[in-house]
Amino acid sequence: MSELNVVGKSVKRYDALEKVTGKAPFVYDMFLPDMLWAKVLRSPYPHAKIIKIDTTEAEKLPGVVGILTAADLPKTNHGAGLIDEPTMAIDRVRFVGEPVVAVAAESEDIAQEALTLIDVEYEELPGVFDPEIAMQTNPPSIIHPDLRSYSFSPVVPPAFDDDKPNVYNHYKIRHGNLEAGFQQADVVIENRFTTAMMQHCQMEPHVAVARAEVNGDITVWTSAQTIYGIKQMLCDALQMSSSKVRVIVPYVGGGYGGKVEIKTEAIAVGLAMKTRRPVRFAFTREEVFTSASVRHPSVIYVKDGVKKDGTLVAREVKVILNGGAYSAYGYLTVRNASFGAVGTYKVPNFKLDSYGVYTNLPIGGAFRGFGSNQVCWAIECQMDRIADHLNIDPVELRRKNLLSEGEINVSGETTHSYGTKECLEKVVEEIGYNQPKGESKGPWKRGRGIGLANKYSIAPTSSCAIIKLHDDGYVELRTSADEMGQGSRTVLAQIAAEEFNVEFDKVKVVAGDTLITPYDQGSISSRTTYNTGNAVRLACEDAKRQLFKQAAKKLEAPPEKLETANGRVFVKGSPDRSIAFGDLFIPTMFASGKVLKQGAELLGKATWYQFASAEDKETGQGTRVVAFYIHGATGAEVEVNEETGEVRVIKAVSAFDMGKAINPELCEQQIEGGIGMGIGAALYEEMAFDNGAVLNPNFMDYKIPTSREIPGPSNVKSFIVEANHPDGPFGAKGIGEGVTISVGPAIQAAINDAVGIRLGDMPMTRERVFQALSRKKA
Amino acid sequence: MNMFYYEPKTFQEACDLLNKYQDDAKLIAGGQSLMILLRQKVVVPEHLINLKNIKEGAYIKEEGGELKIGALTTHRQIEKSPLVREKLPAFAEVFSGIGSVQVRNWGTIGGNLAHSDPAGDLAPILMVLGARVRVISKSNSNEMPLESFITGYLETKLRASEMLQEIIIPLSKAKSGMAYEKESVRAGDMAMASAAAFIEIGSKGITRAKVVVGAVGEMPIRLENLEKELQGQGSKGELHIDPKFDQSIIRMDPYVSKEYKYEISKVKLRNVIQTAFERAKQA
Repeated sequence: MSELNVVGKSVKRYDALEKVTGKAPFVYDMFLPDMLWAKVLRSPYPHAKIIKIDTTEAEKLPGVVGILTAADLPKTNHGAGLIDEPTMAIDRVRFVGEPVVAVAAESEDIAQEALTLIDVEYEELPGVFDPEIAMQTNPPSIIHPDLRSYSFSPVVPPAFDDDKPNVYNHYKIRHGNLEAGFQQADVVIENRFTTAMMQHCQMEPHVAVARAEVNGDITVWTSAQTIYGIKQMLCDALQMSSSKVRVIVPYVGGGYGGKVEIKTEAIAVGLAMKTRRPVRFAFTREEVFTSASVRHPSVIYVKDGVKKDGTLVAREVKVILNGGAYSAYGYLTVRNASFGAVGTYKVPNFKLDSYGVYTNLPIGGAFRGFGSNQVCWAIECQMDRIADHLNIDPVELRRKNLLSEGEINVSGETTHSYGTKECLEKVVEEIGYNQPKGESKGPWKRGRGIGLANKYSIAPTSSCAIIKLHDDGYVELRTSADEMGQGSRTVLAQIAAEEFNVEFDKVKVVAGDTLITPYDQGSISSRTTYNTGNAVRLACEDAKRQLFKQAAKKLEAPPEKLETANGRVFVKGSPDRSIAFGDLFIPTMFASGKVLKQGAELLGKATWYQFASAEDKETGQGTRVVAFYIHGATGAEVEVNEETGEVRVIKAVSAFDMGKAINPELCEQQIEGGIGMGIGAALYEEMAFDNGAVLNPNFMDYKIPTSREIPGPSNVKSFIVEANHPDGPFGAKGIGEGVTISVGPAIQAAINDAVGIRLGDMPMTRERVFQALSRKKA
Repeated sequence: MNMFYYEPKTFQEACDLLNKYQDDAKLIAGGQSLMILLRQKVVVPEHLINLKNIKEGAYIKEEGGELKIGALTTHRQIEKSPLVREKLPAFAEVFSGIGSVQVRNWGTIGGNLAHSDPAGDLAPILMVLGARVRVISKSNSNEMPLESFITGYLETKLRASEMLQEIIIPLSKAKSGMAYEKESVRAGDMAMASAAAFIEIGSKGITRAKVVVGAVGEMPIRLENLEKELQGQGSKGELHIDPKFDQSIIRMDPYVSKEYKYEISKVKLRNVIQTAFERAKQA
């Protein structure tokens, strides 16, 4: 590879100036002239039939302009694979917080007051909340009696279980011969692990502003991370054809997987169509907790067969994801969570069953890590227990069982671009794993621990890009990759700048408008740098073809002999033979700018399609099941108070393999942010419920770590490992989701190192630590 | 529904408004607790009286062997006060655990005590210090011990027409020490368990001990049995602390079990007694 000028450099973010000056547009700040305010009346019951909805009194309230119920909308569902979710409850509510009636009014207060005047009569049904009860053959309630009749995506058809009526998807992996594997084992170790329900807690709550145009089209501004996914869900939910729907996504104040479904959009559009006025529907923070999607709580069983020397010979995993009321993106989480057990370790004989189970809780959907957090938590904790049992150092046990380049993983794929070993050794060194432990002070005991992570990225998947070359030498990139703070615009602009050999600030990004910018699957699955990045490279090549064709005539050289830099086209090897982009254009009369004599625009466009191989439904085996794997490791040093169970993270270091860091500083920021979010999951965050109602839907009671719970800058360290991926742009893979995954396991191991207890339930609250300490003493 | 809003400039003006609107009025003195209740519509007052412009209500002074703090003095003012740091350093320390600097810049000592949240940080330490409060109304002014002022969960002796004017803390002349500790999920969170102790010592060990357990019950609670057990202890430098108390006082909490609250309260009690004792010895 030739020397890179822009890629691999920590250029200043594309959006830095806009954001630090507070000028960057977000939908939560958006207000249109003549706009109405929407509020939604939500189900107070976890499971109930709707007998009657009476809105008469609310309609009489001055200032109320429109009221929307399911009766006003097409009787069609939407979903992200399994089409099971109505925009508003039709005849049944399945969780506390499900939308039942929406009101549009002249002010937020009037809309709120109108809700109190609406009378909904319900008939309560038994609620079921525990996924292991819900997945029984005879559960207390069948949450979707019509499950078998729902339509689904042809790309990933669902696998139901005939005897488990609340299971909406069941994914299987079978590799080798499990029984034979367990027979070879010297020891069999089995454990149960759990993780809690978490909220993404984006800074910007979910919000949409919708406008019904006079020709019947609709325009929606929304805070979302899958602009085209939102557009399709709107088309499905409202039975509109695709060119009638325009979705615009400006900057997004955080996504983390929580902004991929039409939580606000369809209701805003429904009200806008009914009232013929623009409508704004913004979630309160409480609604984010009760009615947006959440991270699936999980119960995971891992049974391993191991040789005395620590070699894994068999592994059996059962993953139970508490999916809540609707499948949503969780439909795919059921499958993809499995890959947490695939990407890191060599296991010759392997069996995995992953279940998505309906319950009467908020909807389990996408959440940074998409199931890998839960499964890697179980696998990493299990590795430590094996090490305990065999009296082998946990790091040594991992070294012994890691995959290697060229080895077949349990999905049947060939391992490559595998930076795990390098990440592991880096954190072992940087956390001082083999150094003497720090002094204990009073009840505070110190310990260190290591955890590993992997995170796949989805396939098949596509991204498109358009490049337009301007007569002043600027390169314009049109993309629908959503910028939610992760830096996608910066990274994609760097790739375009590299391809055209121009300075970074000569690239302009036009983003997030389905009328203008081409298809993209969205800022999910850590996929943007790899997929959209590849699309940008291909679109640049296409644009260069147009450019060189036009320049060839002027430079009297064949197109294949041309190259471009700094807004000019050169004949290769002849720096004196060149032409500026602008000189390919001719002047127009009345000084109205310049025009190309042929072809209208210097436009390049391309699709990047990441294929997936065929995949056996019974065994999950395929040669390309995922696009790539991110690999990484975290080392944590903690202090544990033996009297109270409090855990303080003193130091955390992570090393991650993202293939190639297009912008190293942005990658380091992802890793640091991931440590913070990982500490939240490990020690603090857990949504609590009483009969299906969230008890802590606010930032006072739902504890996200503050800067005081995260070690200071000198004690959080991030390291970049680059195991180049042959298909990635400049070798790049992804980074965003991997970085939280290994934090919990590392803290778990460090707690054990400090006070000698093994925890299997996240978060490791101080009460859980205290109880484990008491058990140990007893 | 409309809410009427006032910004009186003196205690007298505030008392006049309270006298006029009685139960329909609510005072706001920093709002770090009240704003949440207003937003959740737990409290829906017709008249909201903001005390932030009552300049005469914010002061810290020493007078007649006592520290007098105006009810509208902010947490931050007390935390940074050289006088408080000199006279009651352990009291000044408590403030760094209340919310964040932003919260302490708004929250006031009077607002905190009148809100009477059992998980509040100030009542337990002020109780062991034997603090009194001055309660005023349009035509009355009287003092009472903080201990009798607090009557229950979010409840005090304040009547609809009354408000807090001043907090009075006697300064011990004996060889004494005090301590407060809380257990909270995050730094600055409300306490899930807390304890405060004040100890005076003489040549024959502890001459006076006051111990309060906070956060677990309907209000902070004096542990008089424990105080008696401490009497006379420590003449040889060692304390025997058995901080058990009646577990039936512990309130339900959705996130933490009663058993854990009890165990952790005992840890806090042991710690504060030991610390207060050490501080008394060094005084």
